Amino acid sequence: MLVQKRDGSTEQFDLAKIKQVIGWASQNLQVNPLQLESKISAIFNDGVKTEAIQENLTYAALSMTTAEEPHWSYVAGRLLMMKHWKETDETRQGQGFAKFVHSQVDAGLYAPHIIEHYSDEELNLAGRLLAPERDLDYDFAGADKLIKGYLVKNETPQIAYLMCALLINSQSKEKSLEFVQDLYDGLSLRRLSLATPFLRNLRRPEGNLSSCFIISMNDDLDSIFDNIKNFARISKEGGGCGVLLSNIRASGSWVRGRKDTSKGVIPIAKLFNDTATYVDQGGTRQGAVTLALDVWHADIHAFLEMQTEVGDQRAKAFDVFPQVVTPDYFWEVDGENGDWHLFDPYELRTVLDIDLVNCFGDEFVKNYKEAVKAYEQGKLQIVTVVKARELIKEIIKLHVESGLPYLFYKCTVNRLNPNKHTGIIPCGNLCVESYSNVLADEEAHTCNLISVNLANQPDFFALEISCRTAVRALDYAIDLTATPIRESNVHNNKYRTIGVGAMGLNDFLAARNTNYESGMDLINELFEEFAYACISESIKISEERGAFEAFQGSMWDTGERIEEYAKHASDPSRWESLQVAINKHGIRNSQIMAIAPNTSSSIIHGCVASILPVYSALFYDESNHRAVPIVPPYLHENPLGYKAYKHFSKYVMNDIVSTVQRWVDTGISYEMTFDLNNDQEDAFYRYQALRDAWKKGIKCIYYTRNVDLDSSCTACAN
Amino acid sequence: MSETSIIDQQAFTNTSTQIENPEFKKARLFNPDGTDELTERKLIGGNSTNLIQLNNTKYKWATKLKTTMYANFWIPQKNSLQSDRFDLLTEDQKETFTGILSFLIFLDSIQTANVPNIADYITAPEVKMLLAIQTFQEAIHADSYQYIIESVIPRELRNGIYDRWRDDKILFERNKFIAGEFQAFLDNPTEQGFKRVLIANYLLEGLYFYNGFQFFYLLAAQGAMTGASRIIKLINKDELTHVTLFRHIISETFTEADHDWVIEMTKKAVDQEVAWAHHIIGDRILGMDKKSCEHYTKHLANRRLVAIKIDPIYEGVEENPYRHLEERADMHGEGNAKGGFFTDSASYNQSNAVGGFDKF
Repeated sequence: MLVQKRDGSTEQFDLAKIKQVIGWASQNLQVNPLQLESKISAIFNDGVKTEAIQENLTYAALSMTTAEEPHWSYVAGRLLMMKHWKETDETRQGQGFAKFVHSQVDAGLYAPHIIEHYSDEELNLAGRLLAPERDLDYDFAGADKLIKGYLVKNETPQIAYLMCALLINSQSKEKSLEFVQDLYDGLSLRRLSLATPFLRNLRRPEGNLSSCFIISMNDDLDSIFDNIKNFARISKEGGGCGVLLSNIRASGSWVRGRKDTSKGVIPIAKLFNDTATYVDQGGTRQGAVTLALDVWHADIHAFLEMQTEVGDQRAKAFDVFPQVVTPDYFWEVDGENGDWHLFDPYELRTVLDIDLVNCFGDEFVKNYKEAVKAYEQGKLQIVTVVKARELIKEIIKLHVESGLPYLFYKCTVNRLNPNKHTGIIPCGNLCVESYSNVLADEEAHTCNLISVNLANQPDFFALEISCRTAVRALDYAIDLTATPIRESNVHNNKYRTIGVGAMGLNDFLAARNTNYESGMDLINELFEEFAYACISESIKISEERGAFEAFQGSMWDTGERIEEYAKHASDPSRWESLQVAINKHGIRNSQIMAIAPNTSSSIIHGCVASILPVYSALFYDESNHRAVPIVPPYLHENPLGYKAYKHFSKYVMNDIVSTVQRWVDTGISYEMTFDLNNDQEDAFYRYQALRDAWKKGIKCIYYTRNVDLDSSCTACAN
Repeated sequence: MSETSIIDQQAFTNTSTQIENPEFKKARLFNPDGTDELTERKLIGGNSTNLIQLNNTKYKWATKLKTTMYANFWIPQKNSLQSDRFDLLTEDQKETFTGILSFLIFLDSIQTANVPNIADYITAPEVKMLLAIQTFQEAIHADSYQYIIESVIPRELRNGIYDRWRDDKILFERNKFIAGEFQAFLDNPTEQGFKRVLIANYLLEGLYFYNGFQFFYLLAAQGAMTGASRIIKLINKDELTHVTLFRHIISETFTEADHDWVIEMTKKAVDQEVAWAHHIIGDRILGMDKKSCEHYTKHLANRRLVAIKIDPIYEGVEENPYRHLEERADMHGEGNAKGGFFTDSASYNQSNAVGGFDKF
């Protein structure tokens, strides 16, 4: 039998060669290579192409992946990487790195910045850092995602990481390669994970690096359409966007003095919806936007019904992610099963000169009560009175149906806002973990993200290095590229917000033979160290380069922020000495930590996403590119360390998240997973879980997942 | 003589396959002399008023199944097919893709028309209701295939898909076998004919679709046609409730005396499914081949038979060759498929999937 090689020539089929490949891919893994050999099937017809053989082997290994034999996914990953290596050149070995970079720049694949900043000599020196064997540590899902979604043509993963490290280092004042080495090692040993736009765009011409934006609009036509354009530009660059709609007058409100004329927020939501589907980065990634509306807004019902199947299709917006902003007072009213008033912000502004958007806490309660009083005196026309609880029931129904809306606990967020002196945080970003002051038409929240992969931190010392490297890299990145909109630049200069995240907490615990329930103290200790390292590094950079513009009067400046940390700290004096350093040097970044969902990057890293428990010990990732098995890294060593999320009490989850939240100065993308097959987890339970989250100081609820009803066996009990 | 005593349960279930019950007939529509007493209620041949009173049901499994069927409600248009690229499939995959769609759309169209014929003979209102829901779902399914065809298949190929069931000999034969059973019963509504229709339905819902479903999951596993695969997953979820429904109806009405002809029918259905799978999938598709299709079909047939208390008829097929595909479709509430949350609307339910809204 003949096989056709990549270059078109043919050779005799050689089973020994295939056995050799399988043996190589299985090396040091807990698998039996014979099993894969037995899958070599009738696909090998005469004249079969070598690529087809390779693909067949890869796919066979993948299909053998089970919870009992998870390592098959690593065999498949290596086979895939081997194929990728064949399609790239020998530069991966570290030879002639400068030559390689030049050819990439000449071909328009890399932005020229790299060769403007580094000499050939420096590049070749950096090339020696390359450790190609690290390319082989990926499971199939990780290798596939990385190759398809992130690598530039001709690159291997290691080259991509080295390039990222070099580019970020170009903002460093010293020319030394020390920071490059730290960052490259962090990335390539998968202790640090760059957020998607970072890893995807940094090396390319005209790439945006920021992941998260929040924009807000005023209640006028220019502002509305300017912000649709802003959103389009953000989507074009691959950023996720939060948009506050609460300033917009409600349906039935006045336009040019005529009542019953305004169409409210829904038509605007639809414009954002269609913009998101239109601006899709050349078909690769649809624009993503969360639209936020305050729970007192008169259009809240229409807003909640925006994604249900029933009703007028013209009022539907299926491609956006709704977010409901709730103040403490809403939950307090619900606690007494009280009435809740829905208002038109335009009427409040014009008749009463009240603004419910730009306030929180006591000030909100005062304004809200004043509005209620005015309504009772007959001064307001557009008011609806509902039970707060009925609104929560609506929200829970939607959680079951579509997993949305997000919930934003506005007062909790703003009480801990370091920049209360200059504004308010009106809503969350797309993943509700990153936010700061936003001012309609003037300042847009903008943030870059890097996550620390806890699964791969051997000890707290390594953790500290990872955190420090992440903070520095993120701060450098702010100055590295132009942002897509003007409002971002203003914000960046004023606040320099960054987000160091964490993922693989489940793996970190499993690797230490503990779990979420009994590991609470360890989790607390871990995140105290995490916060301490991140804050320390931001102070250090401030010493070198100065504090963020709005530092004076911020909670960092007044000492309130550190006081909050010292309250929970194992050793408060350590934190107090940090305050001394802040008083002397300031701090570089107003917000520093944010725990992102890391849905894609955790797959590249082969760790459990975010700080949450694993979805299931083995599950199939179904995001757009492929559906592939995902197995957590220490499953083989500690199968009991991976209890599926659905088995956790949501009260325990709230405890875990609120413990981590103490140390994280911004937010956490807190996904809740409920099991529809578990009768205990009914609507009332969900209601209690949401109230419990609020009481425990959780800032946001991200996405609600539902484990499906069992379709085949519902009636088995009979 | 009251209608209930005409066909009593004992006599009915003891009816051998050869002797037809002359009193076997459609349920009355307006039936003031009927009774809603649970002790008198029967699946077939009862004397129901047709009043749907769900706090008073004999077949408890029906109530639970109803909740699941409601919770599964969906419409195909909610799933985007924007990223499904037909042009990126290999020629063989294209051929298989369109061939399977031809078959599926025919079956679900027939089902939309046929299920009410079965419901005509059912005299337990809580079960009749499930058949009405099923009918509606079959219509959604036919609509879904059309939605896939119109969204991802080039215009010039579309008509060929709808017409193929006439032109393709193997497809025509197998459609004739199943639809022929349905038609035979309509032409001559005997009790034995009715039972054959029940089995035909059970096999259709529980066996016939599945090689086709697995092909879609396979494509998704390879990164192709992920939108269509999500829709297929929703259909699969519905079909499993239909299998459950017919499993119950069959278990309530069949006896051991029926086993022989049920096995005969199953064998024929398996042979036809295998012939079809060899014809349309063959050895041209990476990840599936003739051998595994046959193995899978037999494996599935055993599973379906065991569910209606008949011993497995095929040996050496205990292992499921498509386990990795079935697992990722996550049909059993195990939570082993996790959708990318910016892309997936498939794993969501209607809000009645949870109770407890009245508790607060």
